[in-house]
Amino acid sequence: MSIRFFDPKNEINFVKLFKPLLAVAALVPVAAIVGALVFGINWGIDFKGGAEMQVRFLEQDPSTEDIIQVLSAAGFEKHQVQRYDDPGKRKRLIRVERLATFSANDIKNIDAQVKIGFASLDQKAIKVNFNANRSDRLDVVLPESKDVAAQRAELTKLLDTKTGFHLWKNDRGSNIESVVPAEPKNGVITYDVHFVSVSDTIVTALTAKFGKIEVDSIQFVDSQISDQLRTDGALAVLYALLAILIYIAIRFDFFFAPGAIVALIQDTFGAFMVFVIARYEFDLPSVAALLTVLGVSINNTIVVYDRIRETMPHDPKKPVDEATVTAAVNKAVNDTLSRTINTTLTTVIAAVSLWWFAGGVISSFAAVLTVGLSLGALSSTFAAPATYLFMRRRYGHLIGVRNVGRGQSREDKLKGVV
Amino acid sequence: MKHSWMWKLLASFALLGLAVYALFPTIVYFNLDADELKKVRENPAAFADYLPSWMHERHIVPGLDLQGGVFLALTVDVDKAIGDKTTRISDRVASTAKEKKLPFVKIDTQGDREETVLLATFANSKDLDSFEEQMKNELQNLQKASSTDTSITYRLDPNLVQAMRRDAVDQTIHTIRTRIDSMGVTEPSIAKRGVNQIQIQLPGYDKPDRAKALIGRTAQLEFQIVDDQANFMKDLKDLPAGVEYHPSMGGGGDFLTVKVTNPKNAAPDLDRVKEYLKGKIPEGNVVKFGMLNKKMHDGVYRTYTLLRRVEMTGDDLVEVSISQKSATDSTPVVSMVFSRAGAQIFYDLSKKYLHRQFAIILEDFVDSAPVFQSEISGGRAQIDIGGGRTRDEIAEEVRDLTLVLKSGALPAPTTFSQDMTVGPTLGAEAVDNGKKAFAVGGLLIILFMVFYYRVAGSISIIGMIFNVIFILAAMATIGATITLPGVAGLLLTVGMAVDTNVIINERIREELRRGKMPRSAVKSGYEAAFSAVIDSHVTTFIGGLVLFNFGTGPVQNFAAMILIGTVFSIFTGVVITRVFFEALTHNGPQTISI
Repeated sequence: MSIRFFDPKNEINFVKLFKPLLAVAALVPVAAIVGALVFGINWGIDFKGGAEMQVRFLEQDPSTEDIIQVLSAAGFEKHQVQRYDDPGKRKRLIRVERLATFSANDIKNIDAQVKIGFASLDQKAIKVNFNANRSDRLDVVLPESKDVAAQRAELTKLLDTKTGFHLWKNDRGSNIESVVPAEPKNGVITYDVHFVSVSDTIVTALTAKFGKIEVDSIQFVDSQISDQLRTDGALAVLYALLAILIYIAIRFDFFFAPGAIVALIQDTFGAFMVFVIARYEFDLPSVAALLTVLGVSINNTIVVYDRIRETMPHDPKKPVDEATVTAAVNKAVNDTLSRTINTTLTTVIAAVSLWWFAGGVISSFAAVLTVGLSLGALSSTFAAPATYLFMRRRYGHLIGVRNVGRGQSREDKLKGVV
Repeated sequence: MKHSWMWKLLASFALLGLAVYALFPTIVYFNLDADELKKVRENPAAFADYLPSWMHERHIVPGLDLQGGVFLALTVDVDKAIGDKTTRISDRVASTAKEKKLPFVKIDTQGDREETVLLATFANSKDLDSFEEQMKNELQNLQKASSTDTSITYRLDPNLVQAMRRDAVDQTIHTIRTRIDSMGVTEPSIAKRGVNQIQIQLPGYDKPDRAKALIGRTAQLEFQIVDDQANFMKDLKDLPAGVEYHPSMGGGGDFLTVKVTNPKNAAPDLDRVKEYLKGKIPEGNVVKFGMLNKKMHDGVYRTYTLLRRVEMTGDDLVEVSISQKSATDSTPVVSMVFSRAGAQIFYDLSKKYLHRQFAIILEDFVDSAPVFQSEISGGRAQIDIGGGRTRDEIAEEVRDLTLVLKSGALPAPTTFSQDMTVGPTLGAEAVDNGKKAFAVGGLLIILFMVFYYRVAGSISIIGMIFNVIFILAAMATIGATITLPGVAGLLLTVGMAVDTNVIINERIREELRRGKMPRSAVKSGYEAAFSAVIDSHVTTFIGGLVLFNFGTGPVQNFAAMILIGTVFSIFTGVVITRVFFEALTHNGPQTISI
């Protein structure tokens, strides 16, 4: 005899559980949004911009606090240090928001100092710009001087003494490499101030304190691009959703589509909540994780829907009464229960083994997947068919679903058909 | 058709054999150790050594996150390019007008970026008219925007602007590709992303700074004449440390050599020399630097004293190639083709400066200074590197110079907007962990399916294995790249394949419960499950299609995997596993293990 988790002869009355579980389905997205608003999302570098490094400490195993202290001392206020789940390898993920050794405030400060330093020149012509072409450079624009050498020397001295930055002198504390004048043009001359790069600054600071380190990866993302990536990602998901819903509406009918939305909102937001609670970094691969959850969610819903469609009476001319619809939904959910459990079990097995064995990015991916897949089983058993039933009850008269006498309680109705 | 199941089974295994054949090099590739992998990356042809001679070499390419490498995203700034071009034309107009002794008050640019216009003011309307009359040639790429009696504004020809907007990104990609090819990276990927972005992947490459320097070079190519009469340097006193004076050697004027302290960053030392020379250079000259011996990279630079005027820019070149000196002399030379306007200028130059050196300047550095050997008409020119060296040395220099000229200026300035480097250890770890997770996860699924569905479960597992092999074989055949999100996509489709069989098995069980014989239960089980299987795969496929078209980077790779995966998942789930069921029930048994 074959093994069976659940005997289809003993039909469970899922419809009775629909209301409370629909409430849970509604609660999940609300909780996710509130959580995201209260605790914030740990945006990854793809979506926030900044510089990110993965480093390994070869000589010491410093605590996160010590590393943060070194970063702060090096002038990076907004930073994040994350430990990897692989003991003994001393790996850390270090993220700073700035792409350059100087901050927006530093630019303001340098601008002010240069204006004070060159008070005799036309103040309107003096500009300090972030050089977009190279993230570690500043353009200082000054009115053209007859003696460029003297002006450059004056500017260099000013930067070296007044701004908190120091010129390249072959020592460790320096952070300005060179000040190079361009050809004068239209009465102004642009000085290209070249700073030491962020990654070099961090590596130097960490090496000085903790000994030799090895850099596994470095990543820079401009904030302009990160905005665009965020929009692109969101739009892609939105379009995909829309296309899928149109397909469902065509292949099934109008009553089915809203349930699919409810189910995938519950699953996707539930999976998203993992990012909020576990503080996992939300980056482009995370979008892929959510998409996987979304795909599985729709997949589950469709299998149940397909069964409901099949179980429903097929004669289009004969009007169905509400009790028949309810019974058909309940039977379909019961009939697909074994499949739902088994499929979820196998996929969760795969996700958990990923979670366990693959460190780094993958483990967060797998965690999200595990939660999303489990929720997917719930939503396709409850949220999706419940929404379908709701739609049929509310709008069923449009296609000729008869309401059963008002006096009957819902339990009676069910008893009558099961 | 008594034994049709047998033929179907044979056909299934034949397909599997084909897939394994397609996959074999991939298996070999992913099992190379670190040293072997390094060898293969440096020389892709070496991969054949690890395969039997009759085997093909197509394999799945591990993505950046799996094998390490450099990822860069560039934003192309066309607006700035438009502004720059207007400024360059304006400069040339101003200097030509000066040369032709046309009276004008001021010729200069106004505005910024794409708003840049040329503004020319004159003392009276007669001067303005003669300017317009005499400068027709120089003004041909401009369009009159507005004018008064004594002033006139030009903007860049809108047709030209439109062409720049249309072609800038594609041209940049083309230029970047030439530059990357010179870096010796195997299987680089350069693709357009969105409207004005280019994404570059250099797998296995670990020097992001070098890549950025080479790719992002806004290389402005210029031609200037070397002043062979220059001799002001002999009077220089108190030369800075590391600087030496040399008298003229075979024309080209006297020069200084500069030994820089840090060959990797010559700028600070050269700046000091520039500053030292400020005010000492005669009117009408400029001094630029070039490497004394390019092959040595020993940090010794020399000065070139040039005539101030920039005679031509890279804009005037339309084609650069390597050819031979003449029909009888096969010495390699660089051959250039100029635009029509460029051809005229170049002819005039070669006539005026015959037997003198002209400097090819790239990014403000003198790349080389060949001699005009003859008057050059017809818009074609050769650069002869000159003798005194072995043929190989000449060939190499010709190749390098061609590359520089060819890759010339990027059509528009570019900004690095994203940059990622993954070390090789990180990637290797990811692959190892991935393999482990796959093995354990797969084993657990196999155990579960066989425990729950017995023989039918084993058939599902066979289907799953076929599925994975087919998907990977398809990827290997097209030489696709696999990344971590791609692996996630693969997992999702494997999950779908298992799900398909769970649905089918449950249906068969139902049919059995209704009292059907195994053989007909299998038949109606497959038929009943079909619509659910198709619908779930089609929706996933639609989602994947949309993501593939609108997504970027990792999302796209994920989507590609879904697209390939769903197709094979349906095939193995519905077709292959059924063959095995048919084989199992071909003699009409009373029971079936499910």
